Amino acid sequence: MRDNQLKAVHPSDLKSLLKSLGIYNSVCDNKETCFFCHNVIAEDTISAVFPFENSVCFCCGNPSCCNTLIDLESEEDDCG
Amino acid sequence: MDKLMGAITDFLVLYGGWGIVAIMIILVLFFGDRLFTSVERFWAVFRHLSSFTFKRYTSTRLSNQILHATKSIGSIDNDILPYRVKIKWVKSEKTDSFLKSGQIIVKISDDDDINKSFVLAITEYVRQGLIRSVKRHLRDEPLVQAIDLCTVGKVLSQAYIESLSYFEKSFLNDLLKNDEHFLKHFELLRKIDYNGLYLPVFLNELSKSLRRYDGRYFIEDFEKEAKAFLGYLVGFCSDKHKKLNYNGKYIHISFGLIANSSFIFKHGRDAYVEKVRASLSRGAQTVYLFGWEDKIKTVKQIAERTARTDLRIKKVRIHYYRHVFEDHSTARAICAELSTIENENLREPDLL
Repeated sequence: MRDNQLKAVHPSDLKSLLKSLGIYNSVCDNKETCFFCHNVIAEDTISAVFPFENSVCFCCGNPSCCNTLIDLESEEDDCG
Repeated sequence: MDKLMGAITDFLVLYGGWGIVAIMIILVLFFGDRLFTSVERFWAVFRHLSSFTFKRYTSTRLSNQILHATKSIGSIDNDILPYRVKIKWVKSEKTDSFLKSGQIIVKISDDDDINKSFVLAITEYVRQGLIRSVKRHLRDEPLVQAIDLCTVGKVLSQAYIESLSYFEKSFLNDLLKNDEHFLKHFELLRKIDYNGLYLPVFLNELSKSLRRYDGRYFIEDFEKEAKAFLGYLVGFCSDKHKKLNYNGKYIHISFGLIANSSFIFKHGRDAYVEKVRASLSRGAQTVYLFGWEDKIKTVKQIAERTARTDLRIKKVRIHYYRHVFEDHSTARAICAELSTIENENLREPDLL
């Protein structure tokens, strides 16, 4: 049976992850928003980080945004 | 107990290190699930101590959850969900490789939102692994999403109920309310699932039928066949006078319902054996026999007897499930799959 890898980040490692992606400062300066609801995102409210059209995007903890993230993944799959 | 301990000690003295390895293998083989659950419980106690123990707990819990669910799905067909899950905890990522990977990184925190993290993780797992070879030929996005989420519901229902209720309240109900195409497909899938046809018949047949066409990148009319097959199964669940055969381009199956006690008393079990053989002669590649409660044993006997007497049958698989009737009452039920396909990896001669 093959392995399917899921990437996860613990809240204590989120800061270093954001730094490595070069977006920590913009998150701290409230410049980043949720890709779906466009609300300003903070370290606490980030639910997922994902790439989309060559940029790093965020999904907040709002269930409807998480839901749309799942939709978006299906669409990406469909497009190949 | 003393005798057992004595025998184990003798065994260890005799075989030394290899004896310990053998005992470990036996423990994992026979009590693997319980061992994994114990490991999960162990980490659960210490999960608040540090981020390391929390990560160990989360990884073990998610792997257990998926292992438990895939065990029942894998018993139907290994290709339906052929992946195990492995959590990779990331601390840093190179921007370039992150952008190219297309993979989401889920934040999993130890708070009330842990169900949200689990639902996201399991959805991602199912999306990546479920009937991959089949989904490649499906272009109807709401149908694919309905198949994925119906399976997520089944995975969650077999492991952690609190995650399931979160999934239904926060994810599924919104989609059902706002997307009528998704709703239409999901309702059909749920209907066949209540009748035990979703995993052992629908996904199983889609997966099996395509295995013979592995070489083709895209089969244009496969989606049409998949929808026609789904429509047939829904009709099979609802119609009073059921059509017992489906003879499509890629899928050829037949059903047998073992429900009529007076028929069995009058004609005996062999009458059903003959019915199965007649279905095979008419071109069915797989025959599914269904029965519930006191008929479970009869279904097994008929399946075994048919397999013994008819050499066309290469494989018999038994699937147990809970049948949900129209009035929402439930019953223990069985689905016996009698397949004539010997080597499922063999491609159709005309495609080689």
